[in-house]
Amino acid sequence: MSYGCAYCRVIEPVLQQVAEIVKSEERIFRVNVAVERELAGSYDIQSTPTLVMFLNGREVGRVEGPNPTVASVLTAMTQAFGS
Amino acid sequence: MTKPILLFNDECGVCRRLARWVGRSGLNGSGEASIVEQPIGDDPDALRLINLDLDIWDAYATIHLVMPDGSMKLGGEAVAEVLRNLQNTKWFAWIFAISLFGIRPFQVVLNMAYAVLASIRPLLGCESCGTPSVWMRPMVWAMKRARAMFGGSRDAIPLRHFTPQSAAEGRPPPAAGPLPPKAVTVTPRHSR
Repeated sequence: MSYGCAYCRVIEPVLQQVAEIVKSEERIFRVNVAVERELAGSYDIQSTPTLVMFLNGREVGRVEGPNPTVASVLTAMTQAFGS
Repeated sequence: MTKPILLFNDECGVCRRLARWVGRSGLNGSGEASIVEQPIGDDPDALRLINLDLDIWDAYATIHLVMPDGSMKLGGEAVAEVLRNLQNTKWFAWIFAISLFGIRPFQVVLNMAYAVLASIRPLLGCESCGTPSVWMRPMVWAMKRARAMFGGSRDAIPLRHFTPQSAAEGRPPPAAGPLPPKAVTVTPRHSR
């Protein structure tokens, strides 16, 4: 994410709701790519917001610019972690 | 605080250039600035020290001018106030206060001009504006293609969308420990 990204602002409350829903099983973190440029580069972040899902330290999926709805984000996570 | 503080997005080339122009234009004869320009930064708490009502997302979304009395002017209103404070623009900035039948026509035009400028920032060189709004995307796409064709190498590859299982071979594993550096846990607002 980046604070300067309007789309990130839209999806922020959605991520908060998702974090509340999945808090017993998963944790959601946000990284400011405007600050952590090296980290963003190492994960090949091309645009914001990008959701990257990790399982046991391995990336299992990512979504760029997801629809800013709880259902959409949850679906993306389910697909990533279920695969 | 005795001078207005202009908060600007330091990650945005357009905003940076405008802030520098304000800084230069705001100097009076004795070299004293009439407006303090301050990058918004990335610390929401530091921003609240300036004004408790300042929200970092809002600050990045639209221009904020924090007045010495603690009030804030936003968007076109902030631009008008900045122009009123600069030596070389205050001679015409009074027009934004002209009111006809309860409407300030010049201020309305300025508000619209600001909204358009804010929307096209990704085209003008905003490195941190993220995914542009829907109506801007064809233009951004065309600009990227043009750059790729005429020698610019920046981001010539189209953006990918929804690519589960896209873990590229060779991509390094997450940083040691559960959190990458400066990662912030997303928590519901009510629990903060």
